[in-house]
Amino acid sequence: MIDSSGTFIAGYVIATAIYVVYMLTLWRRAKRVGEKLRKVERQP
Amino acid sequence: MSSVSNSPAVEPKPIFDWFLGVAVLAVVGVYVRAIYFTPIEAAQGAAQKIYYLHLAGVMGAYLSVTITALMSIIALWLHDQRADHLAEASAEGGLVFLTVVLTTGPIWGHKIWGAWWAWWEARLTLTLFLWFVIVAYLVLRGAIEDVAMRARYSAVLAMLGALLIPFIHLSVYLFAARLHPMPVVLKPSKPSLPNEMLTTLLLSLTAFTLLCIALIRARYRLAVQRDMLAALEVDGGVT
Repeated sequence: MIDSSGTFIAGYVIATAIYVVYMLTLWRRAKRVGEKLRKVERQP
Repeated sequence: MSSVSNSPAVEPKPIFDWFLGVAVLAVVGVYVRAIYFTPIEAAQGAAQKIYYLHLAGVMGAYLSVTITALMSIIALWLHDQRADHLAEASAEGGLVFLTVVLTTGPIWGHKIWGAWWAWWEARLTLTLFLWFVIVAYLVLRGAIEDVAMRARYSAVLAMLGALLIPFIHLSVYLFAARLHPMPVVLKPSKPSLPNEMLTTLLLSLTAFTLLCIALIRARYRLAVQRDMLAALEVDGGVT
């Protein structure tokens, strides 16, 4: 059996990073839109 | 047309909810099972476990791109903006899953094939082409302000993307020159995986399908909130 543990770790770390970064971008965009919504609603 | 409420009194739903929480927990469970409780393949070693993420990414991408195409058709047919938002949300999810596929694949291939990429390999090149189609879809949507025109033009790209899926899946049968392994699960005969690995794979497909739906839901809600904001800005004369 070949030692491919480095490949395995790299694959899992990179895939996880892609999902996490996407969720963070969603959260950040939602936060920005939410702030704008509240700001607009407060205007008379 | 759209049934999205423009009322300022409506409180927008949080984009992250219990459903995403369940999906993330399911994915964590799959990681634990794949890493600690699934046997290591004899020839490839631990690198074979990338397969559980890679194939789940493929399924997520296929599902997302198919939803994008179906919702694009519905948006064109019924002029329903909710379908258009769902198409956009699915396309973004599809791009994420395709990116996972196109990174985990070469990482595995570098060790097992001795090459990061092979341009003559139809499945790899067609998958990269699909990635570009989805990028083009999202760029196009960002560039067109007119809602009806945006839905119409982007639907063409969405359908082109969905049409690529059968070619990608069947490419290993259609082309004699191939490097990519033949399907071990999605094939006419019985899956050729040991039971423990097959169970992990099926759990992985389930967990990542949940994650895919949860991400699409979250992105859809963001699109609805953006609509509400745009409506409020127009009503209030805000520029």
